[in-house]
Amino acid sequence: MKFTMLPTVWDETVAELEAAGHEFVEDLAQARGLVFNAGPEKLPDPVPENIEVIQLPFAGVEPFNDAGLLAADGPRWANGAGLYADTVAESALSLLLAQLHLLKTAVTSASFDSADTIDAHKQWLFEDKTVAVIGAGGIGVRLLELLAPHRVSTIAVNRSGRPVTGADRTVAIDDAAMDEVWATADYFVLIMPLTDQTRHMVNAEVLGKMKSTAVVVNVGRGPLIHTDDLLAALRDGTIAGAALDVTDPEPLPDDHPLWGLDNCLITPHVANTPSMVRALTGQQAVRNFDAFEAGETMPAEVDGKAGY
Amino acid sequence: MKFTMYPGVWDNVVAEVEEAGHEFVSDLHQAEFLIYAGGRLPDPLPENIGFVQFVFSGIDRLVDAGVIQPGTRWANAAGAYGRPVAEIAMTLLLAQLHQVKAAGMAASFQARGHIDAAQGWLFDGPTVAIVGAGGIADGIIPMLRPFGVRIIAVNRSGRAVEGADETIAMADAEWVWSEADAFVLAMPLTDQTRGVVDAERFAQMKESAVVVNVGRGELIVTDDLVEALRTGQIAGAAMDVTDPEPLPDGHPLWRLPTCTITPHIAATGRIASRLITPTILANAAAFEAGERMPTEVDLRKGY
Repeated sequence: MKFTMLPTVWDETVAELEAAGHEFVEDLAQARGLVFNAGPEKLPDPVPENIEVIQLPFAGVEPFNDAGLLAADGPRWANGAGLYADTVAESALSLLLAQLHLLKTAVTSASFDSADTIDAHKQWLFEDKTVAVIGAGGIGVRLLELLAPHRVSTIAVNRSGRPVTGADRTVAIDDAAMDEVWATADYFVLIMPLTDQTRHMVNAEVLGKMKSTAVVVNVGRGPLIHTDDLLAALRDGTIAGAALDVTDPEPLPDDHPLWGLDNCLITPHVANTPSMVRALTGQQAVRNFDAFEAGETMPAEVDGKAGY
Repeated sequence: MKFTMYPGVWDNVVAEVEEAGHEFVSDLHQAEFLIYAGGRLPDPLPENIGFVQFVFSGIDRLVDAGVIQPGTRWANAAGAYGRPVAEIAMTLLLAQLHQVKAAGMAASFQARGHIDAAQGWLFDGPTVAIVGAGGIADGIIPMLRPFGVRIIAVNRSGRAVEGADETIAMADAEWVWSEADAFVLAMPLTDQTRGVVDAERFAQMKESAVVVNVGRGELIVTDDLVEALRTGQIAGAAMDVTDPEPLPDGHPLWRLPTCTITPHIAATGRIASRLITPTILANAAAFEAGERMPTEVDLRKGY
């Protein structure tokens, strides 16, 4: 089908779609599909009626939801869900292991003098630990596969509570059983989408329920965590550590106190980077546009009512 | 059997060995075997000591210092710490690929572009060579499997290592140095392995190569590594062991964002005291039965 790309044309993305038989057109009025790679304020208003389907590159679609675009009558929407399972799951495991073994302490001390401190405070995955994967979609399932050889117990947390492949048990995110999950898991990996329900879900109250040895990894969205509450919890030892690839605010200002904490590892949003996105978005659009043309639900179709 | 632990005593290990039916004696002259975690020993050892159980794996320094001498049977901890050391190797490999040190040193989102460009991935099918395929290889191979990497095991004999796609004898492994994307060094330090990763090897490697060392610092020629990292001959290194060790404060490797260093935290006394008992019991049983102990040291091989 005919498609165009706005506001920035990524050659790699266009090439993938053309290779799959779709036709790139310059003129928006001629296109049926749109690959759109900016925020909602850049979207043509209104979207012309000839545009029936819009592919967004990322999994997080909350700005479009906030702008009321997803629930409106108009084009169908697809996002990058599932596209970054390999990259984000690998980054999540990397961050978890690096924080358990206190790599930031090793880096900032730059000395063998830190050996005793690290030996005394580091934690091991191999010693019967429980990992809670919160937001267990495609990335979570992939992470569970990567965790399996470490022989940890796993709890998957999702919206429905429907059992997640590879998890020892699954809990619904709004279930009363979440209290017990916060209190019993050793480590938490946050991968859930940002919605009204999940914003600031990890706040002082939730951090207070966790073990003092708990480590929280965030590869979802910065605002899933209440930053000031996390800062306090890391300073006073409410929990042992955090490892963040996403922050709130983002970018985290250079003078922010989290940078100075040895028990808070931060990478600058590199689990899912621009170079990766361009390479993978074309393949995602092919899968979705093909399903759209066949009259099917797209593999990464956005549920306008749920907001993701 | 009667045993002692000397000079340092680990109470929990003594209790576990006693629980298995052996009897702790405090007098070295009454003991039939000795559990040894380092420190000064009488020279020669009393003849009543049938064997010495060293609680770590690397015996090179004990041999060099003359602590281990022909005439007394020694056993080490070979294989006992495969899982923790494999976990550290995995951590170091992932942390170096994902530029955790660079991020820590930069402490700024302004490093994003650089880190994005520099980071490497396991998911897109690299080849990982595990050099020295013992307990550590047994531990790390299953951890690498779900990433879909190709695994080449390199060992002395070339005997197939379970879970590896290929096993190559060290003597035939010349091509591996230019083939693999990542190396995990996990072999003992012997005359054959000392300095095996030197300038010549770095020149053979890909520019994107990452070298992880959880074996012994002396497996790598440190000055050659500094040069290879500075000139971009390889992409990175990550090591829990160094040469010299401890690595002096101010050593140039500390300042290189391409070189992740942890201060020998894989198989520490803390970990050893939690995991060594089954090895001790298996060796004692074999000794009593008049057999070769499962982790008996072969002084000719050096491990």
